Amino acid sequence: EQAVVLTNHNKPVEPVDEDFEREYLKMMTESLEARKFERKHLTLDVAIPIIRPADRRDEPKTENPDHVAFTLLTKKGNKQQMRTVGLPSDSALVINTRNMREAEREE
Amino acid sequence: QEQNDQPLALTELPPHACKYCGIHSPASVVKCETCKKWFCNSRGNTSGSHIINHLVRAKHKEVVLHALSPLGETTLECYNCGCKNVFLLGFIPAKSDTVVVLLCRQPCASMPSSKDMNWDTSQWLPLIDDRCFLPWLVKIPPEQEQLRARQITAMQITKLEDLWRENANATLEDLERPGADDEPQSVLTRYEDAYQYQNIFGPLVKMEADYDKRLKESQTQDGISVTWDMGLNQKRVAWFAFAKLEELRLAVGDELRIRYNGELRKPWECTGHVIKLPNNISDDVGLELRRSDDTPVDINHNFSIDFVWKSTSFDRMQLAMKTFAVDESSVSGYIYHRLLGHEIESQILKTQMPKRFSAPNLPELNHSQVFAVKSVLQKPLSLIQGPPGTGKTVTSASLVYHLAKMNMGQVLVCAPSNVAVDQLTEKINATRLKVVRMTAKSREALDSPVKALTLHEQVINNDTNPELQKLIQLKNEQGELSSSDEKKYKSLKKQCEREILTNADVILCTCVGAGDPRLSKLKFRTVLIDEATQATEPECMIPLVLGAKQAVLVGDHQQLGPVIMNKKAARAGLCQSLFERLIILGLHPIRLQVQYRMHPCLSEYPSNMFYEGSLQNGVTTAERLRKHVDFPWPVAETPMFFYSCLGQEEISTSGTSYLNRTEASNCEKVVTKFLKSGILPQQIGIITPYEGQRSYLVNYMGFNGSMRKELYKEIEVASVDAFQGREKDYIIVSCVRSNEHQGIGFLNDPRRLNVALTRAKYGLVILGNPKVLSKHPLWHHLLVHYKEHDCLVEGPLNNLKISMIQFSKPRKAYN
Ligand SMILES: [Zn+2]
Ligand SMILES: [Zn+2]
Ligand SMILES: [Zn+2]
Repeated sequence: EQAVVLTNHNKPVEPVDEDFEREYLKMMTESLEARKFERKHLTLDVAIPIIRPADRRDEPKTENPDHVAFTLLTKKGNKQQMRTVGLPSDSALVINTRNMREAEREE
Repeated sequence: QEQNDQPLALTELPPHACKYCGIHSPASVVKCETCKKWFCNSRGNTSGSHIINHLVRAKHKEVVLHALSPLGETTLECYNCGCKNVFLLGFIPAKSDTVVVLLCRQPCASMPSSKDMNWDTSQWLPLIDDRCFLPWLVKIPPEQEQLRARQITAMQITKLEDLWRENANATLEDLERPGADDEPQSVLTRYEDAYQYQNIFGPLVKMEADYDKRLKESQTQDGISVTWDMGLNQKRVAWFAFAKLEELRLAVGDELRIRYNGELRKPWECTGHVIKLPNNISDDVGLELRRSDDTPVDINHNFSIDFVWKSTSFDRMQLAMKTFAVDESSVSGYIYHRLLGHEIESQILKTQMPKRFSAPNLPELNHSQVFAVKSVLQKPLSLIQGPPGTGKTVTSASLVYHLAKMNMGQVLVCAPSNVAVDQLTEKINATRLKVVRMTAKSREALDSPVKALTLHEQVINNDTNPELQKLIQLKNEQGELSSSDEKKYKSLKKQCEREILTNADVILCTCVGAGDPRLSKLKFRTVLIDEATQATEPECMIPLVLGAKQAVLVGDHQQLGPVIMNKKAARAGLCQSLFERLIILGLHPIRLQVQYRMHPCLSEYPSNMFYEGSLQNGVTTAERLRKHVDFPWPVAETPMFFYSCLGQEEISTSGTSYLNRTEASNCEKVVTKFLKSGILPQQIGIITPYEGQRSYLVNYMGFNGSMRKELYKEIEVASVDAFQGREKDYIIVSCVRSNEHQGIGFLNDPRRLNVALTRAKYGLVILGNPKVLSKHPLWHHLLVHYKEHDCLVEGPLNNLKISMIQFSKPRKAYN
């Protein structure tokens, strides 16, 4: 028989705020709903820029060895900008990207 | 460091400090573009991070990163289309380089990717994960900083956001000012008099009404596509898909307005009643229009739908409370004082007890049912608790039979839902009592199992008034009557209704229906309310104030209670049923104790957890085992298991709530196995708390199931609430939720769990993530129970293995 243990040393966890939960869901739902019919007249047209080592000068100071540096493309007005972000090396996105590149290399 | 050990004073905080907690490291905060306030990405004591809390509660959607953050001042937006709604944004990686870009989920990331595309849209990673911005984009403040920040509660956040709607510059300190907090007065256990009762419940009912009105009237949907149809009754029906069903709690009989404002014709609008809701056959809503003459049947797109809110049910509650207060004959003196919680001596009614307690044409009653009937007959006020499968309806019907036979006068039988009223009507009618089922006018056109017993059908079929008959026939043929005929028709109909009602032994309607003007002249000495634990107190008052001298409430406070939408009203106690308060006042419910539904292994846990182990089994293991059914139950005699599924929940792409693909796929496999072993679709029920999972599952099974598509379509997939009061031979429960920071949502209510676990007769399969669910004490118990019976399993269905998964420590004690 397993006793129910009261864990007081943890931060107090408030009872589930169902109100917030519902509103959160609603935000997600409505955001998608609103754009359901917007698929026309749009193409995904984003060229991958050539990244020179110089662009990576703001490389994170390897403060976190568990992170892998990625370049984040953003826009400021119409100008393309490149920033470096550290993605956790155990995230699915990093692992998949790594696997894909390895597979490519083997070809 | 500039920060010293002094606690942070609000006035000294920089402008970019989190408006909730004061945290202000530039890498951890973002600015809400709409209100220009800053919030941090820590959760504090709440389930979502502060910024997400704010965006959700204020309905804001756009943010900017701080200039001193690693990415500099950056507006988060879709690189392709410029959409700034963070709830739609996510990252996708390039296929061949370590480059990521922000894209909106719809349409940019869901466009079919061309072969030579550089980007891998299939890996779209939402910017908001588990109610928090991705920590590598907006840093989670270090624990040190979090600990010295202001510890704001979810409740304070709610109030602060409310305050900001009136005054954008309000601060947490303003919350402490008197008057800012307008919590309504809570319900009491005892009341001085009926005026005090009305003074407390009146405002709560009003709050709920206002909330309901606001909610429903704000649900206008545009761009609706309509298919036109003609009903058998020659009325136009519009068919269309309608989102937000969950929220609207749309019911058959509700009124909607359909409008056309497009360019193809002049503006048009018409109201109508909902005649069909989405089910597993079709996702469409059916709306029968009031008028058929000028319907734009040649147009199919660009319609708008509004909800037409009606105050009827709330008005009737208010009126009932007023009647309770001012009309001395509304209830007997005894009931008056008992309802208000006054100490008075208990009464025994002098009644001639029947020799047999079972009623004609109904099943023989068992000992606990006989005991219930016997004790109720002698008491002016009683409670019957009917746990799942204990024959509540048969007991109620038998009881009503004796009440009608013994007492002078008619019996009024009510329940909050139409389904329950119909079931009772059928059973009571079987005893050969004269019954009338009264429905709301908006539901008259609907087909029901007790159609012939409804008041309007009895009027149509009456043979006492030839003139009325003639007019009815004329109306049917012509659709309309001349104004003088119409007047005559109305008065004759009224007269006929009154005759039928006064000649009945039993009148049945919903609690709200009891407030119908057609009943206002009648007095009901005896009132039985079924499903009383699902009605609010003011709802129960409606039938009671028609003269009750003897009242019976039937229900089960261990199953779902009334649904209250307004949180403030719910917190103030509107969600507590009269049944529950009477228990608190010391009125002992008579419990039905023999269950005839579940295989004994299925009743064991609910009995121990919710009924002090008092449930006895009226069915044997042998009666509930199907030998020819080839299904891989881990323990042959114990047709139940908990199927460990470790997949993640997500927000469904179809735009509706949560879904869990792993569970859906396992669910399909379980269903297919059931079907292959000869179980019919009608025998299977799937319970899932989210609309997202429901529609995903229905589609998934249709596409991926190896059996005929139609078979899967016939399986009922619905919420716990929709299954309350019903049963299936086999039940599959898909829990869906499995994330670390949020609770388990709709499944954290013990009463809801009880309902989910007690629907199955022959077998139960629960799909869920034990790791996450075991954090909840209630589920922890359940998991231990399944584990002890060797019924906690994992792996492929054809090779289930006992799961050795370690449970998490439950968070707090459940009692
Ligand atoms: Zn904060
Ligand atoms: Zn804002
Ligand atoms: Zn986009």
